[in-house]
Amino acid sequence: MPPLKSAARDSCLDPAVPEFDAAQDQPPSELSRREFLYLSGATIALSSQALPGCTRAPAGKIIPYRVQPEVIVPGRALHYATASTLDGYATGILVESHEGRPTKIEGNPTHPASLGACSATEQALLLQLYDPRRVQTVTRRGVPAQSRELLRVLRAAGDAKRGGRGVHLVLPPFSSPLLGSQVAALQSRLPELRVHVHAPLSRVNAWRGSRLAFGSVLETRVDLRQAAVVLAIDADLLARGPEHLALARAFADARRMSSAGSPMNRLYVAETAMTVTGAMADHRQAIAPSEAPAFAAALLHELCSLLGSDTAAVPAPIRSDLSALAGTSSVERRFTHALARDLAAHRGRGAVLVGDHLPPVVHALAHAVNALLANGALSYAPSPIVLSEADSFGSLRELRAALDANSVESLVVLDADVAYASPADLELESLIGRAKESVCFALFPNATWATCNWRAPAAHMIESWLDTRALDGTTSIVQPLIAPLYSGWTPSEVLAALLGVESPSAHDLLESFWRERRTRDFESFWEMSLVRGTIAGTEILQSSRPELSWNWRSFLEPRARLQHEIELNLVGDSRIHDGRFGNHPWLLELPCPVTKQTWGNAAQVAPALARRLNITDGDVLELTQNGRSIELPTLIVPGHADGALTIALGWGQRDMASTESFGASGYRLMHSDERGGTTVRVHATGRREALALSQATMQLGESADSILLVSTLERYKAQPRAHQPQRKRGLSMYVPDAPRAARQWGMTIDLNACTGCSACVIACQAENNIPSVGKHGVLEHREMHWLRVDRYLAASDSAPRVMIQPMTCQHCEKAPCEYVCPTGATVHSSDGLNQMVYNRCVGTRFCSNNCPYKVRRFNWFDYHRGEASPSELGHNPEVTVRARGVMEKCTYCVQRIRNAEIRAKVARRPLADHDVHTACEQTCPTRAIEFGDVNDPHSDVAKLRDSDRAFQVLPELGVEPRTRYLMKLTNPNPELAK
Amino acid sequence: MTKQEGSSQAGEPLFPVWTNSVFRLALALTAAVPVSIPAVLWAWERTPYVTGIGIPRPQPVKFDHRHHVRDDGIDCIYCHADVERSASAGMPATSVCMGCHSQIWTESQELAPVRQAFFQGAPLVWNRVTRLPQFVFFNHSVHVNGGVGCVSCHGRVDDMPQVYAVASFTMEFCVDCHRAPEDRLRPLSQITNMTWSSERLGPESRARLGRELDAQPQTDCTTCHR
Repeated sequence: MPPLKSAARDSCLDPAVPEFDAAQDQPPSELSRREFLYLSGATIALSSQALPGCTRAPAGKIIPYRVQPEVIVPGRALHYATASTLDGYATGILVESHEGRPTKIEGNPTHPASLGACSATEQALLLQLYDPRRVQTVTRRGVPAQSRELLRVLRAAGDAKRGGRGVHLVLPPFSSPLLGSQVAALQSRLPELRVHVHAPLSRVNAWRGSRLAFGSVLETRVDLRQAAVVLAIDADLLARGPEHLALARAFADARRMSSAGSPMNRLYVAETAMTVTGAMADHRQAIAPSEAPAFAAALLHELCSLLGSDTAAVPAPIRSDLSALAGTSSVERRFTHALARDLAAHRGRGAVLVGDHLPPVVHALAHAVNALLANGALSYAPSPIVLSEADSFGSLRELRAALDANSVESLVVLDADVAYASPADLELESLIGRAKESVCFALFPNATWATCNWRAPAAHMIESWLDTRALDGTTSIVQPLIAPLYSGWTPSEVLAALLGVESPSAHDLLESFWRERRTRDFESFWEMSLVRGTIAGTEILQSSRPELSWNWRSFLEPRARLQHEIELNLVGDSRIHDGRFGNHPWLLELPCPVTKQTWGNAAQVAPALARRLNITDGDVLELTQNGRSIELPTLIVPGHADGALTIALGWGQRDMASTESFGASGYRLMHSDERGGTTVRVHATGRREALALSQATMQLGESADSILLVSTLERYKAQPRAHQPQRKRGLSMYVPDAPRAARQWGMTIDLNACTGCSACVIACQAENNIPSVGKHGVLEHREMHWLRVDRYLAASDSAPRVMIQPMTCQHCEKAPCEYVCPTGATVHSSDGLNQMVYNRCVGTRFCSNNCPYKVRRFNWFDYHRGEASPSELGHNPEVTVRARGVMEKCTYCVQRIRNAEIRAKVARRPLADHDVHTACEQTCPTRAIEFGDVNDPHSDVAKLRDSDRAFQVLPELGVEPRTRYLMKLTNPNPELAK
Repeated sequence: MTKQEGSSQAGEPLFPVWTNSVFRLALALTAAVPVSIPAVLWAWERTPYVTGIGIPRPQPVKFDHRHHVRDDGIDCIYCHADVERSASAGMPATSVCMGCHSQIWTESQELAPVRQAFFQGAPLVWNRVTRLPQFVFFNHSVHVNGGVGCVSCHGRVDDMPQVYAVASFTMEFCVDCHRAPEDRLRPLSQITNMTWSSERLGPESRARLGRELDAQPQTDCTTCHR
């Protein structure tokens, strides 16, 4: 068996494993000596032609505006507020535009679901806009057609005389008031119209749970600032879900530890696969999906006995059922008991949150726990989602039945990949062809697009006029920054066409909709809404504490334990969500925050299960369920629940990426009845596949303390400076510092706040024109990310402690890279930056070899040269696009520093703290990154540098890094720490 | 060349004597190649043909700066309006031209391309005169707000019937001034003045002006290269 590439990653540790294949040591055999001479002669001849200075510089052109728009100043970026929508919930964003060309997406500070932060997926929408693989033309059965003809087809389907018989509309979940009114109008115009909601990762179980507990569909909102004890049951609340950016901010604020006396919350997590939230937990318990109800019941049962008379409201029959169900819980009694005592001790200041996919009864149990404890951090309000009563898979089953019965006249699919992202038992991919007329509006040629006879481009968010709402109801107007590149249709235009509008325009539809609702002073209302990115007064008011009902006894039946079987846990992918970003190079190459896998998914198993099955990383498994099977490589994840196997959804799409598909589709194993709780048959095929992991070594080993520091709250409070190494400078062979400017830039990263969500990686990639290198490139260790997020594990395989450390150029004051560069391509600036001068670099890579942090990246190829139009339009014009053979690395976003200095100089004012935000700092949901002038004692970064928790990475080298880290603290329950 | 021994006619050279001179000259030239080629290249890239210095660029409209600046007294910033607030100085939109030329010279044949651009929407395409490489990030606003006049880099544009470059904009040109800006600074009121010269100020007033303008240009690489 040839050595695996992933094994080769450890070669620096294990000399027995060769770093390169034997063949790579040999010169390429095809090129003879004579051919080599030919080629080198030709190269010299050609390069002399191109010698700079020998030819006249090409004369450029300047094309001024005919009439320059008032707001546009060429050379100065503008920001427009808009909103992106995922699964119906909005996140407010600001889009940067250079002369009408969107170049970057940032969070909108005034939007409650963003607070100025942005996750990787929202930022990645930018590259999606310019993707040349987008659907560009309207076709009918593969033949280009006119939009007019498509409009006629839609208007015929929406003909009121037909009453909508046989007309089926498939939509993603939406919260847009405009779409809501259009769908309502359609339903009254066409009484027999069927509307199907397609949401592979829907919140339907959470809504059903709230219906069990409160009798109506309510969204749970939580203010983590008010919660001292938080329990998350398979809920990745810090990295997924409609409000995760705000939740992460609140969570970090409650752990900021600005001084040793500050309070700090405690997080318990019970989950199957390791998630970002689980990695942040103070106590983490691995449970299989089917164990969640028993665990929640055991918790409520413990609380009933702890709180005594206060739980008189719990009916006796429920109590006995709880006790029976609690008896089946496999979680150690000690854990449940300590957790219950902690929650009871912090009555009113706790929060129990449940993952969307868990069965409704778990949600109901959590609501009951929160109600019994009168937890003030939680509140309930109606959902902003229109049609939130609809059960996604149930409604797709109806569609299947209709297709099966050949009763579908017109099928209109709006931006929903039903053929791919739906349970395999529905077989929609093969059935859609039975519809007499099927119309698909899609951004990319996906599986649904391929099966429909009318195929049309959908408009991208950045090209659309629409409205959308956040979880708390705050409404935003979605405004376009660029005219549709491929004449895409917005959902409102499609619905308007069905409603018989002659030539629908998304802007007019939206404006007239809001004009009807805001009659007074509409112009200023419209202007204000567009400027702020939110519409004031649109929040959904919280319901007064809803009455808890207890009539869900029938759901409390203990389920038969799944002994000796492997449970299947299908989860949304942290980067490509349900598969909608399945062809997005930035997101495919973004390492999974937990497993560090890129370009593919894997069968994640616990180390214990892997030992039992006698498999190891990279062994390809055949996974079978209900006669359907997929093949995936194994990935062993310490901390994963034993007896379960996790697969991230959204991978293995053939049609979206025209070149190659990555991973395998978990939807093949999904069943429309229930998302969790099924089992899967595992068979090792004996083949192996290389896993493109961006980090292989997870253990810190001996040198742990010089890389990152972790302590407990208790120890830290007792002796805040105990961990500080002796602060004397070590001997150094490097020359003393040069004279310096007044301002000295520096950064701090708070490991106590950092969740490892990796939004910063994409922010850096977008800001600094960083290319993606592809799966092969990652396997060859050629990633170009200037900022990477390292993950380390400690303690045992079953209950690992996870440590996250974002790592980027440390801007060492005595930078080892600078001393070895033969061309002076990397030198220090007077304000403390380690500068990289691309024009001087000849690519010796000495600097990278001498860098102790391994943060320098080399351009092995001209990654940007092959870019198909219009991708290059998304580049940041403030940053050089690097060519082949050049070293590059984090610059502390020097273009932002210099532009801020220029703005201050022009305005004749001094530069203030926070005038400069690096891209990573700006987007960080938890504000873990702080950047500023370390020479200014009043700046936040200088204060953090001097805090008790500050430390350098590898201090023994004496390189004096400018980036400092703040020690991570955990807050374990003393009862469980023993 | 030495004599050929053992030939049929002993004592007669095989090559004529003058070949010795040719050979020595060839040797000297060969030795000069490593020096002369770079020297020629060095000189070549400084010729006006390559740098463009002093060579007027043809433009779609025969715009005469002499007339507009000197005769009409129009300030630079009237047309290059973004110079104080943006990296780019800005070229006037066609509407700026038409602001005056809808009133005067409305029939002029010379201005036909301008009217065409304005009324038919086909933009004017000017030929760039001053060109910086793409890896240089120059910012006009910080210079004109920092006391560097237009004339310092662009020359006496008010004397140019057709605009040409007056400097090559090599790194040396920029860094010379960044290292010692004092002599090139002027009061902010004189930025667009084409005839003002810092020689009017004594050394003390120059130093005072430098302090007032807080002129601290950086010479770090990242000042211009990012």
